[in-house]
This record gives sequence, structure tokens and C-alpha cells, in this order.
Amino acid sequence: MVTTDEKGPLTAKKKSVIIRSCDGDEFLVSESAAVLSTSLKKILEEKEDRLIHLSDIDNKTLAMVIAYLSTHADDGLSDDLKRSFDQEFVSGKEFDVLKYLVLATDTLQVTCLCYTVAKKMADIMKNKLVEWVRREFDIQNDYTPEAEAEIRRLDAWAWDDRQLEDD
Amino acid sequence: MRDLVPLQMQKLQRGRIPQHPVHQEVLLVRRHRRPPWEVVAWSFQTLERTWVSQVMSVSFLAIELESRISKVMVRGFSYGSQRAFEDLKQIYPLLHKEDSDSEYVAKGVSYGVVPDVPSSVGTLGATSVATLPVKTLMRFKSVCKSWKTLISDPNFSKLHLEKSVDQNRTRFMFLHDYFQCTLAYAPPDGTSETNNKPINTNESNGCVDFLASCNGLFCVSNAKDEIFLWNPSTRESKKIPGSKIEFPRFSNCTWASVFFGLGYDSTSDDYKLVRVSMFDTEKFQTEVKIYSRNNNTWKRIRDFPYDFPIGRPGVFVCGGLHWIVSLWCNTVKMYMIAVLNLEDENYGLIRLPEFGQEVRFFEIGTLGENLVLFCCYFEFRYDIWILENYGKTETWTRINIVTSSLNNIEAFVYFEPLCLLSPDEILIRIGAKRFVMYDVKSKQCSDFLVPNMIKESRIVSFLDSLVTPNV
Repeated sequence: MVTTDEKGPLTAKKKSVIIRSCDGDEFLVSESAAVLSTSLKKILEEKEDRLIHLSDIDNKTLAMVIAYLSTHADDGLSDDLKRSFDQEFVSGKEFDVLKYLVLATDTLQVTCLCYTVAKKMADIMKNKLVEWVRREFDIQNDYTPEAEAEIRRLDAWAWDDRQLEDD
Repeated sequence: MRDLVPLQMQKLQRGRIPQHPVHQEVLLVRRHRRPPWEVVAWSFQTLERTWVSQVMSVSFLAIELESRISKVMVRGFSYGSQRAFEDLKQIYPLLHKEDSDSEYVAKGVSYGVVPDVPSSVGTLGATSVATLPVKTLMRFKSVCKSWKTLISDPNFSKLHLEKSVDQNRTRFMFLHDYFQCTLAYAPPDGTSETNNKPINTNESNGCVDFLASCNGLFCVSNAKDEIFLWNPSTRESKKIPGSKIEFPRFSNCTWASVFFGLGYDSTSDDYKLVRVSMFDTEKFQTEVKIYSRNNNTWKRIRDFPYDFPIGRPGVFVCGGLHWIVSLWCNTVKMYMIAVLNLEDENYGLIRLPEFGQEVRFFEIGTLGENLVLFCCYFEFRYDIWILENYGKTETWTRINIVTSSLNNIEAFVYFEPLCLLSPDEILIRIGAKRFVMYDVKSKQCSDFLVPNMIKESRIVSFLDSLVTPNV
């Protein structure tokens, strides 16, 4: 009895990892979920440390990534359920949130999620005005009005038939 | 304490290391003979120390370094650490010489994003920009100068092509009467557009003949037999220089059947147009010429060793162009697939599958990144054969298309898989008018509506791509 009591918490401890966000919040994650991120997997293979500090991912973004990883590490869920989770995961999220997510997934090398988020961002962006892009990414327009008009004239066909959105 | 930043490092910083919003650092250990040892990280951007720590024991030093490096690695690996470490190798000896009392052990450098990506794109991830359709990217050239540079960059065009493949961003070109090419987006994107005047081929009223296509790049000819490379997605086109067919000497032959194929050579990052001319002479004679997009020149290569590629343009997959050829083997005529490898310009053969019954019609094409053979047997049954293990011991895997779930299926001979809608769903054209989606898992067929479809026209499926005909 004593041995099982000792074994219980020990194995549980061994199978999970603590991940700390840049703002200091710590998340307990199962190892099977953490290794879905190629970067975390590399760290875990190289050392025994159970605490991983991520200095450029904030707690909100990290929480979302961990929710994704945990869902995908769950063997009890079917592939179809995981696929619909992915769709719901990105739907309705603000563009700003997605921007942080795509960076975090890139850093952590969670390829599938990175694709899903990038695709969602592309879906939002594809019918936007150039002005919207400048605003959203805080870009200074460095063209002269003449140069900009010339560029637009060269590919005028790309502007013709769409309702472009500004919000 | 001496300033640890040597002058050489500043030079390197200015000359070679790109500026990025994400900080880059080199990690050094100043290892004196006795502890305490210092662990120092330097930022390449500001040339300031970003982090200093003193450690008293070797084990602590190891822990400090490990924890630091793992963080650095996380960034380093995700953003091309290979280059970072190559640069580090050059920096390290410089630092090493600087201070002879103590030893520096440089352990890691991290970079921000891939060089050449503007910072505004960098912070958003080039992946999501590369996921945009070409038409949107054409508009986004006017966001700012660095976006235009990025979108026009050949490496970005490669990344974009990869994303197009990943997402099955397939479009169809409907060719009818040779007078009008009409473009339409394919599902699942849903959006569609038509474009009736896609290319300016000089005085030909837009009349074009389709010769070949690869990665969204088309090769077409006009009524004057001038040949153009054309990307319908970006609407760029280029007339390529003509090249005379060299008819065999000492023969009266003045006629040749000509076949084309367009492919990509990854070793030279070049698109190559292959023209095979089969001469109408008693002895079997051919001429093969290759046009290189990058050099803008033609050259003649070894003659085509097999008889008569029948039917359609060469099918490009896995670095080679493929045609169906016929061979005489002990008075038995048999068919095989001939391969022209675009890297080494050698020819090869691939066996066809064992059909096991009489075939009425067969043809080759691509599905995803695989070479497929599709055939119709007598009694109007259809199979798609997928070639697996390409270049090793090739095997054909058969997918039998069960059409029993379709209503009013007519006895069509013509049958062609067009593209994958998802890994398990194949879009198939049966007859001239009908599109069918076949689910490989459930073996069910269902009718499929292709927006803006022009019935009874030839269809070429192609990828939305930024591949340019010009270099």
C-alpha cells in the first residue's frame, strides 16, 4: 500500500511539465501534450527540467496554446472531434489575438495550429483594404502618392471586382 | 570589469546581421581559473548586456547555461538556427583572442525571423501572408515598399507555392474553342471569378493553344506559333524565343508531331520547357530541346528514346516529366511511362500496373503530389491507380471508383480525376458535363457543382501561384 501511494504522485509528477509564461503564470501540462510542440519536445529530451520558462509568450496566448495541445493529446477524442475543435478554436477570435497566437505557435513549433491560425488570418485579411493592413500592422506608407498610384495601375485587375472591407 | 564587446563584433553586427524586432543574442561564459564565473548574454541589436549572472560551481554554471540556452534554442531552432551557429563560429575566435586570462565559451545565438522578411511581416509571421491568395497579394504590394519586395521575392513565391499545395488552392482553366480561356476558382474556396482576356499574345485575338503547365505556370502558343510563358494568377507573361526544329538530314521529312512538357528543376531553381519532336520518317527519329526560363535559351539534349508519346502534355511530378509511350517487345506492343528527369536530363521507364482486364482508355495525371494513372475498362468501370514509392521500388495502389451511388450515370468513356478536395476526397470529371466527388473512405460518389463551369470544354487544373515567367 505504501508503495502504490508513493508511486501515484511520483508518476503523475513525472508525466507533467510546468510551463511559465512571460508574465509569470505557471501552467501544469501533461508531457504527452507538451511534446506535440517540437520546441518543447527538444527541451524535454535534452534535460530533466520540469519547469520551462517562455520569455516571449504571454499568459493568455499560452493558455490557448495549451488548451489546443491538451485536446490534441487526448487519445479519447476522435480525429473528427479534434478537427471540429480546431475550427471552433480559431472562429470568432480577434485578429489581434490571432497575431499573438501565430507567433507563439511559430516559436513553439506547433505546426498544425500554426497553419490553422495562419489560414484563419489569411481568411480575414484576403478581402481587406490596403489601409486596413497598414492600420492593423502599424505600417507607415512609404510610397509617394504617384508611386502608389502607379503600382495600383500595374495590377489594376486585382482591384476591380471585389467588395473590399475596411473593418 | 572590461568591456566585453570587441570592435570586431560591432563590425559584424553592422555588416552581416539583420536587424529584427526580436532580440538576438550571443551567450558567453567568462571562465576564470577560479570561480565565480560569469555568464553573459549580449544583444546584437543594442550591443548591451541583456543578462549577467555569477555562478560559484560548475554544476550551477551548467544549470544556468542550460536554462538560458534552452530558451535561446527555442527561438534559434524555429528561425533557422543553422545560419546563426555558422555566424557564431566566426564570432567566437574573435572573442576568444580578446582576453587571455579568462576563457569565453560562446554557447548560443538566436536570431529573429528569416532575413529579408520585413519587420512588419515578421511580427505577424510570413506564414499567414504566404497563405493569402495571389490576387490579394497583388493588392498588398501597395501597402509599403518592403511588402512589395517581399511579395516579389522568389523565396517568398516558393513558400507561397508550398501553402497553395497544402491548402489545395486549385483553380481550373477551361479551354474551349482555343479562343477563350476562362478561369474559375475551384471549391472549397467557393469564390469564383471569370477572366476572358487573360493574356496579351499580340494580334491573335487572345487565341491560344495550351501546351503545358506546372506549378501555376502555363505555356501557351498563339496562332503564329509564338510561345509564351504565362502565369494566369499574376497575369504576367513572357514571349520566349523561338527555336527551329532541326529536321533529320538526308530525308524529305518536313513534318513532325510536337509534344511539350513544363517542369521545375529544384537543383537550379529553374522552370524548363521540353519540346519533343517526332519525325515522320521511316526510321524512328526524334529531336528534344529544352528551354530554360532562367537562361532564356534553348538547347538540344539526347533524342527521345521511345516511340511516340501519345495524347497529352508531359505530366510533371517528382522532378521528372512523364509521358505514356509504346514499346515493341517481341512483336507485342506494350505501353509504359517514360520519364525525363529534369535535373540530369536522363530518360527512364516506369511499368504500368497489371490491369487484369481489357482497358478501353487510360491516361496519366497528378493527384496531390502523386503520379496517377486513370483508366476506363469495358463495361464502364473506372479505376485510379496511384504510384507510390516513386524512385525506389514503385508500386501501384488501386482505387476503384464505385459509381453505383450516382443517379443516371451514363456510359461515359471519358473520365479524369481533376484534383484532391481533401486527402480523402477526389474531384472527378465523368463525361463532358458531370463533376463528381469521390470519398475514398466511404466509397461514395456524389455530384459536385463547380462554379462558373463551362461544360464541354477541356479543363486544366492548376495552383494559385506567384511563380514568375520572368527572371
